[in-house]
Amino acid sequence: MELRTRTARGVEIIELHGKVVGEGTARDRFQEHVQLQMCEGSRKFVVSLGDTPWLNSLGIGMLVAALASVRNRGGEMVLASATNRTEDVMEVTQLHRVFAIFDTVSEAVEFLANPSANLQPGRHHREPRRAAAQRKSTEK
Amino acid sequence: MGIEVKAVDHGGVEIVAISGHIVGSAKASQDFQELFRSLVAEGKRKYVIDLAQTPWTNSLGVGMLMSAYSSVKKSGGDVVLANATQRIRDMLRVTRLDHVFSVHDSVEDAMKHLRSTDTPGS
Repeated sequence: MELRTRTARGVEIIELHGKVVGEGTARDRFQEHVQLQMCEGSRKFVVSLGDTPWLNSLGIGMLVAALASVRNRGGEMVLASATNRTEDVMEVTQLHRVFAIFDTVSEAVEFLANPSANLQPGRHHREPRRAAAQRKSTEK
Repeated sequence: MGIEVKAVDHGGVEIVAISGHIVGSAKASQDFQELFRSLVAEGKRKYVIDLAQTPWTNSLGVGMLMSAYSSVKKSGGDVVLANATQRIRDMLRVTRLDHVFSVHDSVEDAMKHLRSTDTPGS
């Protein structure tokens, strides 16, 4: 797993590249980066998963650990560009109720950067893919 | 990190008791994950994580619990928490993980909850 980071409109964007397996050094690098940015005053984070073919359970633990430390300091972390596979994992584990997931990084940045936006994850969730498909099939 | 983990089968529900401060070091997380992975592989589906001997946890510890939760959920099982201290409950509330984990006052209540969610035929 590789981390690429940048800042846009006061929002820290962390792109994860490769499999997110949340083991040892990868997890520590991710956690350290988030801690460091928070020490420098950042409170808004977008984790982009567009180039992440899959994440295992330790990878999920890694994301939740970072989310926990950000929320503990009054900040927010959201996810963007999750692949279908990742989105399925988030749904099975109910994490779509905990993390807001956006289609694109720019939507996620807009959500966090716009001070008038109501930072209530859950409100801006899009409907999970599977649930949407199920609803459509029952509506027919 | 000095946690001890004991897993005991109690009538089809696996009671996993943790003692010590859960700070989720990389090694502890992987060991904990490995334990769950092997229990899931043995076909165990229902788990109570007993936190009676766990005064507090940090964000990495929460991640460690979530990793285990995720492995179990992916196998179609369920994990609930029992005897969480107020500090741990606060941590779950702040992170909104209380929407994911159901937290019970005792192991008995937690087991009752797991049994009540039994689907016919399972």
